[in-house]
Amino acid sequence: MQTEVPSTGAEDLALNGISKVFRTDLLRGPQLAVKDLTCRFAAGRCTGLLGHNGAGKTTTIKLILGLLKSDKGSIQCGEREITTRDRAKIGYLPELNKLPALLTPREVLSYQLQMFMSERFKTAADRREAVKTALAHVNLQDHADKQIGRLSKGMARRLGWAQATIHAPSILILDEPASGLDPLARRQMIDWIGAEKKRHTTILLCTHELAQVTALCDFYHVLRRGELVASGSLGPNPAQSYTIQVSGLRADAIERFAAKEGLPPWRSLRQEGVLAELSFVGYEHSAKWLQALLAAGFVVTQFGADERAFEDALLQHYGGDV
Amino acid sequence: MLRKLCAVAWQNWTLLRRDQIVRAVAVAGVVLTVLAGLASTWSIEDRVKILFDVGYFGMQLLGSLTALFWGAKMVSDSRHDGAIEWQLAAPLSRTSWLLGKYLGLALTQLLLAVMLLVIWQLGLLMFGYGLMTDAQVAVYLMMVLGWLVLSSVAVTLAVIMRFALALFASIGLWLTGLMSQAVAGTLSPESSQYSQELVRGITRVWNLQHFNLIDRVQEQRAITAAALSDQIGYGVLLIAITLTVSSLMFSKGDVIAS
Repeated sequence: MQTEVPSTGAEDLALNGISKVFRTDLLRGPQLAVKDLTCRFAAGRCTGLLGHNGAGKTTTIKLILGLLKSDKGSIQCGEREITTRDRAKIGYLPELNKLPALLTPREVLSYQLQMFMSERFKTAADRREAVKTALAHVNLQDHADKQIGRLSKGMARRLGWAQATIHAPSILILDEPASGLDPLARRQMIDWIGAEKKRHTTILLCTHELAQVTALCDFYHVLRRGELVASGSLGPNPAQSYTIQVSGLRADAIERFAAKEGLPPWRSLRQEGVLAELSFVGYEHSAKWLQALLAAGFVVTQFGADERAFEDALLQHYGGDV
Repeated sequence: MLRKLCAVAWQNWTLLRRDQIVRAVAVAGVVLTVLAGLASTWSIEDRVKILFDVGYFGMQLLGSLTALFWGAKMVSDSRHDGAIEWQLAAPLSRTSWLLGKYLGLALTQLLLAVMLLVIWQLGLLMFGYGLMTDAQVAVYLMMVLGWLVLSSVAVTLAVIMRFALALFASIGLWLTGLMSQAVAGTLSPESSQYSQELVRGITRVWNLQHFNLIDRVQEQRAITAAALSDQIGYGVLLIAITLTVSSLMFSKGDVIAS
């Protein structure tokens, strides 16, 4: 299932044969975290990094950020090996809130500007306005001087987003960005990621939520026990399943209707009360059916790509480790 | 690079200032000053000696323990709460991060030193001992330099060890540094050549009595500028060595555990 991922610029991230073994536990011996990982995160696109718990996703992120040193292989940012200086282009949102509890949102964002844009924001006055704007963007302007330890989880996550994006990074690394958020905050987070995608930021999205992957990602890589087991594109797929749910048609009537209209065959048919659900392989067949059903005056209650089929295909790669 | 280093230092200074330890040290400083004052008032003779013995010993203990605790905690806490991930995901070298953190710690220790000095001076005035002499201030400043040395040692150990281990190891080194000179002075001539060389070697390199000038004041010996500069040079050299070693160790390998 290896797919060639097209590049749209120079700001992509490439991992070349990265391996990492932890040797910190004397009793358990060496623990393989990542093995010969070669994959690319295309410039200006959103790529999902998927896998079961302990598959090596977070280790991969930490290797990219230089927090861990690889035993083998190299990481490239654009055309050359990644350096400390390249981290100025990267925004990172860790899975859990890792900002010091005794600092305030204002102090964290001001510090972030000093780290990432020290040339542009030299004085405290320069930074003040940028921090104010960033806080307003994540709706934390009223909590700017409250200590982080006293913020709610949702607020801390919003602050995490602000610190990851305040310097307008060209590469964004998101580790479970919506973890622990309520549905409203989750939607807001997805909207923010969507906006970054429109800005052509290279996004590495590490998540367990396959709905987020289908909604946001252009490509995906699946890890299992530290190894890359699948990569692919989430663009138009000729083998994609589509379903049409139609009201008031029985199975026998559907067969007569298909014969009369000369419609292509369906893959499966499911009847639930007055609702019939037809499943097709490929968009073309389903579109012909939709057109014919609407023209004949039937009520179509649902039409779209069958996400479950994609999820089922992905989950196969998780093996027995889900 | 300097701007980033200062940002890390400022952030650590902000964090440590808000630590509850600062308030605890202030309260302990007041209690200690009052106790030293009362002890001197109750004594029949050598009132000043008792005042300074109790006071300086207490301050020394308070400052040294705080230095060791903060030094060991600084790196360990950042690892434990994950703040180190957030900070080192920035375009900042590990060396700059470590030096910035130490600078912030040193600034906070100086703040504590000023705070305790003010409390002590107020206590002296309250008990009728007047203002501190230049020699007494020099003794105090040298003690503060000792705290800075101790915190740099604790930082170095925390780079390679977990918090509890780093704290105990630094306390062990602190006690070794305090006792090395005394042990070398009382070593029997019958001791093996190897033991004598070892103790003398340790005393040459690691002797925290260099930062203790209280005996000179009490014996009314002069504290010359040359002697002071020697002590300061020794302290600065120790800090430079420990921070260089910790930077080298910190730059290699993983910043965080699995």
